[in-house]
Amino acid sequence: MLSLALTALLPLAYAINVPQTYINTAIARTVELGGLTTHVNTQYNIKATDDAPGEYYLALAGEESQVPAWWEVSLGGKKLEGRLLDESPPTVVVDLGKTKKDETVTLSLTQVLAHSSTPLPAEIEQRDPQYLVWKTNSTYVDSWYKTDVERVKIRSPHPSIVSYSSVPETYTRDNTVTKSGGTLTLGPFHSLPPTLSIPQGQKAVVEQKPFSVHYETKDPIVGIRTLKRSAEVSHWGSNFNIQDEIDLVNEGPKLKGHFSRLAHQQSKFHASVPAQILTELTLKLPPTANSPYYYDTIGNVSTSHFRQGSTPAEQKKKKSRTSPRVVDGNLELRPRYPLLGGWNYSFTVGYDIPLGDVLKSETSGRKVLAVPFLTGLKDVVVDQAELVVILPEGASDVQVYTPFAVDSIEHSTHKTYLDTTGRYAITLKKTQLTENHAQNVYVTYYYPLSAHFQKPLTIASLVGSVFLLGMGLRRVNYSIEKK
Amino acid sequence: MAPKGKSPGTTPSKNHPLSTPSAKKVIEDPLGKSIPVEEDELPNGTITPKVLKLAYPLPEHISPTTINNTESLLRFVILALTCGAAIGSRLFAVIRFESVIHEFDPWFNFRASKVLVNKGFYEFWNWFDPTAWYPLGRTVGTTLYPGLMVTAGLIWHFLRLINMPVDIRNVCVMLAPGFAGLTAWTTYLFTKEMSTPAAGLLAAAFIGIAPGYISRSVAGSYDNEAIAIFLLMAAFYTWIKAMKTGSALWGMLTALFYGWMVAAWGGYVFITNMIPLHAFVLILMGRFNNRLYTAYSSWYVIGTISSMQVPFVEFLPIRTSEHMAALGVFGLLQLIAFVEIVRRLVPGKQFQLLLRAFVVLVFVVSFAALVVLTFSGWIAPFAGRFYSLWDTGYAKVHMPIIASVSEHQPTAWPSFFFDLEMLIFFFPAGVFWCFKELRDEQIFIIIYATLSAYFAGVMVRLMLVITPVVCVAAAIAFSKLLEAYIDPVIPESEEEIEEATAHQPMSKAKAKKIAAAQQNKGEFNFTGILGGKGNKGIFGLDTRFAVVSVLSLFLFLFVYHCTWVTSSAYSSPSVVLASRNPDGSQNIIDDFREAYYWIRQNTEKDAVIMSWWDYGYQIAGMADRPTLVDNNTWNNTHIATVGKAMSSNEDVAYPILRKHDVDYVLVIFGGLLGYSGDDINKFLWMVRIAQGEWPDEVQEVNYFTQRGEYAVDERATPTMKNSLMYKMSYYRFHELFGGHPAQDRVRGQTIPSTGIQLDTLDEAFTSENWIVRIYKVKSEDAIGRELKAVSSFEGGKKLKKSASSSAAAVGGKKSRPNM
Repeated sequence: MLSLALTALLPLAYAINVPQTYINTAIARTVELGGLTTHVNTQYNIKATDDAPGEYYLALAGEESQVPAWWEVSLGGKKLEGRLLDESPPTVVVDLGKTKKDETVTLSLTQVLAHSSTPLPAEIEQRDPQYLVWKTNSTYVDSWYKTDVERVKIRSPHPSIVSYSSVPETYTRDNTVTKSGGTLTLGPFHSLPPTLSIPQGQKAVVEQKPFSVHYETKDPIVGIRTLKRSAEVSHWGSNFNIQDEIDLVNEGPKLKGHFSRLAHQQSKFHASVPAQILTELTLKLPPTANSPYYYDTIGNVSTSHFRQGSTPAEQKKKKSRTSPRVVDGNLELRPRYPLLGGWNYSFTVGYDIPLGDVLKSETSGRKVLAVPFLTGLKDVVVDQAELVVILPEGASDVQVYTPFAVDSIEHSTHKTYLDTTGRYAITLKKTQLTENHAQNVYVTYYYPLSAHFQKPLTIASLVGSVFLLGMGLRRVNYSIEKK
Repeated sequence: MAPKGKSPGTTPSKNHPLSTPSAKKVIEDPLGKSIPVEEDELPNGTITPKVLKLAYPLPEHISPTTINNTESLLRFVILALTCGAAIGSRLFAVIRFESVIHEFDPWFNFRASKVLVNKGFYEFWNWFDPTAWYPLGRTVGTTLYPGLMVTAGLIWHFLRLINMPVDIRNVCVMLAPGFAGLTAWTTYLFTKEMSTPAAGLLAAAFIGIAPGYISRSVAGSYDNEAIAIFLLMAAFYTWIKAMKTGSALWGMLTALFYGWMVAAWGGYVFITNMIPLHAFVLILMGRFNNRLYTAYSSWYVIGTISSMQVPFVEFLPIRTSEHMAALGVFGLLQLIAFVEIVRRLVPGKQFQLLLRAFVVLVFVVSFAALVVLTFSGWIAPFAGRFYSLWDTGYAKVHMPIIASVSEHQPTAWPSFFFDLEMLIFFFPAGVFWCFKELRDEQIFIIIYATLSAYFAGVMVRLMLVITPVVCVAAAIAFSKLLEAYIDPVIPESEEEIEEATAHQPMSKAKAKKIAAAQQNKGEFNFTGILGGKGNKGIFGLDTRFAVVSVLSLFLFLFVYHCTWVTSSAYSSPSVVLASRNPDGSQNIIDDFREAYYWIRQNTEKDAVIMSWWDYGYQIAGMADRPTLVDNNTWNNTHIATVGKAMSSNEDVAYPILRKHDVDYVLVIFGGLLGYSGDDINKFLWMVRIAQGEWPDEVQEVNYFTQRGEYAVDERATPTMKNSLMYKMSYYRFHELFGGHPAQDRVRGQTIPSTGIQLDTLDEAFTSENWIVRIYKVKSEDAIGRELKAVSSFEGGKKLKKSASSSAAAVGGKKSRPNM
């Protein structure tokens, strides 16, 4: 049914008209398998076949695939801004600059795919190893152009690869798949036609084959269902507070049967905690982050450790022996209970940063605030993220600059302690984030001097009026008796 | 007139010279020492200022206004500091642990408060909780005292209104300390009415830190008592005020505080009976007057009506025996007032006699009517808990649930000292002083002291009720002592008096008069300062110094003791436990929350949890899951059912579990860590309560060894070893010791290493220190075998395989039988 529907959609998909002005002389792709994320690095050696070849159409994925959670194109180490087309398959149009005929450039594409591996078997017992299966629809690198030679390397995090699918020998000269340790090498493939068809379609298009790897992973597979970050600026306290509400879930194979504490304690004793069990999570905080807190619905979670980071500037002040380099703070969080496959754990974690580290004032009086969208966790995918930036009361002329496209930006008013008119709040939402999205959102605003005095004046007038009221009331005689 | 010049008023109506501030100004410092200041223009009696000898010099030429102002400023500052100390000493738990709700009942109150603030007042009022007492449910709105939650909700709403979005949890946690501060303030006002402001300040300081009150009002102890003691003192203060002034306004205020108290705590019955008793005693003493009439009538009418607004109380004030005293005294007052009016209009001794007879007759008839109505069932007799106040053995026989609660046990003597320290010694002295003066309001103290001393002896929980009166009485005694010994006036020695009389023949007559008065009285007379005679007093500076320093030492020790008791005994949230690591650092044991949070996050939203009733509120509050029984204990049968399931073997227990849709069974096991409040130690109560309902099926004797010991090791009886509770507690426990003898650290016994086989339950979760163990109830076998057969079958199979899994028999997904 689905394929039928897709077939019906295909003509629409091929609305992209790609002129065959380039060929790929070589493509080298490395796929780093992980838990929830898969890092894909692809190097394209591109040769123009025309004097004015125009823009290069870079396919991000195959015909039936989604846009990857994160992608970046760079040309010779320099980041390139690509224009993502709306049509499927996801394609980015990049400008390679002025290229002449037979000139070669090297383009590299970095992609992070989310949720491309799934546990197999889907249910395991407490002490069993966990295996994942990674599936892709494109054995060959998707491309709108012809490719001379192509090689795909798939690296598993652990040498034990249970099985992998085969690759047709159509374009290979010797072996199709080579396994050495935890690395699979596909190809090299020679003289591949474009994998995505061209409307004019002079040449046969390569038929893509799905490819899957069944591999073992030794790390717990952690996902974040929802992340709600609120970042609050306080000019009076010169403080920047970040608070994350996190719904954590162990996305690995589900626990079969029940959890045995005895077995868990024994495995801890023998230092062989099974891979699927998440007992600790380390958050890397900015070096000047301080006063962290960690609690959940029913109170503080007492099992956490915090190692404060340091900066060279601080190190001069403190005299204590710290590293002369910038050291990130480490917040080691231990959930209340070990997280086995399929178990959830929601909690809130927050910390303070001195405002000076994230806020810069321009000479024009404009303030520029850098808000990290999320704290990156290796191999973790955030399904739903929401960032609320709360500016101080009285902030005006607010502008938001995001490092990547977000799903929505809303402006609203937030009222909290000692507020009268309320604070300016910006809500950003995005789905599917990876550690590569741990970048700063920049918010600029003006904060006039008068706004500084709004709070003290409010409180002073309030307290003053209470006293005045008291003075007045004391001078009234309430007695109904006549004296 | 010297301050000690007159004997204390022998007639009650006359004010005691010490209580008239014009005679002497007392300045207090926070330690309670008072420095009397003699006013220059004061002397007007037989002793002239030149004759007045002082033990130590006093500053002169201070205008009375300055003294007055300094005094009121000092009083305010001291009171503010006292409130601060009262709040501060209750924060141990917050500082040491965190802002968390403590123990058991507060978790329910907290949950109810959340419903109140999240869903609104009407939702709260009509709240039916289907998750409690599964499958019966509980109509919460009409079975609780809403005062506490409404108070917290109002504070929360007020803070919201002024843009202070405080978390409701923090409001709940800080409610008790906040109201303790207010209690200190009302106690000051109350004591001031009884004695001097100096005694008031002392009383405020005492109640602020007395462990007897702190035990129920530390931060996080979000229970009815948290606000009840404030309301109690406020109601009493306003009552004294009303009675003294005869003002309907004060009477109405009494009624409002009373109404609030009724809404907040079941102990309101104490006020309901204290005030009528006071009024009744005053009538008996012939002290009826219009002020009493106004005060009592306005309190009774408004108070009763306001108390009937509480759904849980409703018509109780006119239908139960506990409330009949108030009604009776109300009627009596009307009659007496009527008689008084008639007497004023109609003279004649016979008529008066007739009227008196009429009053007595009406009283007797109405009392008889009350008795008849009680026996005919119109008026409910006293409730069971009430009887247990008179017969301490009553509860154990008739209501094992009430007897099983540790706070319902009779008080042990040491706990009086533990909770009140030196106050318990000063308490009788203070009551004695009240007897000596015997003004209307002091009679109140005497009655209160007598009643509460009895109640506090009967039930540990009622230590709370005696604490305020102990503080007040002790403060009165203490301030009397300090006043006497700080007073700088040196009395004249007898030679001096003689000299004076010789020199001044004019005063001879007066001296004679005094002597005659002394002889005429012919009653018991105190000597020394208690007699309060002019020529008796403190002579030297050394005596003063000795006594005052001893008293100060008492005060220091009191503060030290209170702080120590609060910190060591009353500041544990009991949800979080703490221990010390070998290096002295604190180790937090958080097993309860670990397990509850696991349930909350990883079980079905409607999974029914069975546990002993102690943990019902905590499970509902922290794990947010339906429970079979909880701390409300309204349905004895339901609790007994759980008790039976826990104390029976699996064959008996399994059908009970299935019939009640139980998904998980939760037990508390302290054997690994040495946590003594665990279920095995409570087990006998489960057995007893179950035995109360099913005497044929559960018998307490079967759980004891032949020598009458309660054993869990090899000596344990088969009934004990086969009981669900025993099995769940020790399931796989010995494996943890890897071949060494498995030691139960609570009971100090060795657990047999023969494996325990659970056929109908699966271990689902065990917390880090094994304190909480959760078992999943297996569903019936898919092909209709008995679960025992299934597990032996699986066990046989397992022998061939490596014994890898404990959870071998996993049935299909449980389908809940339709109800």
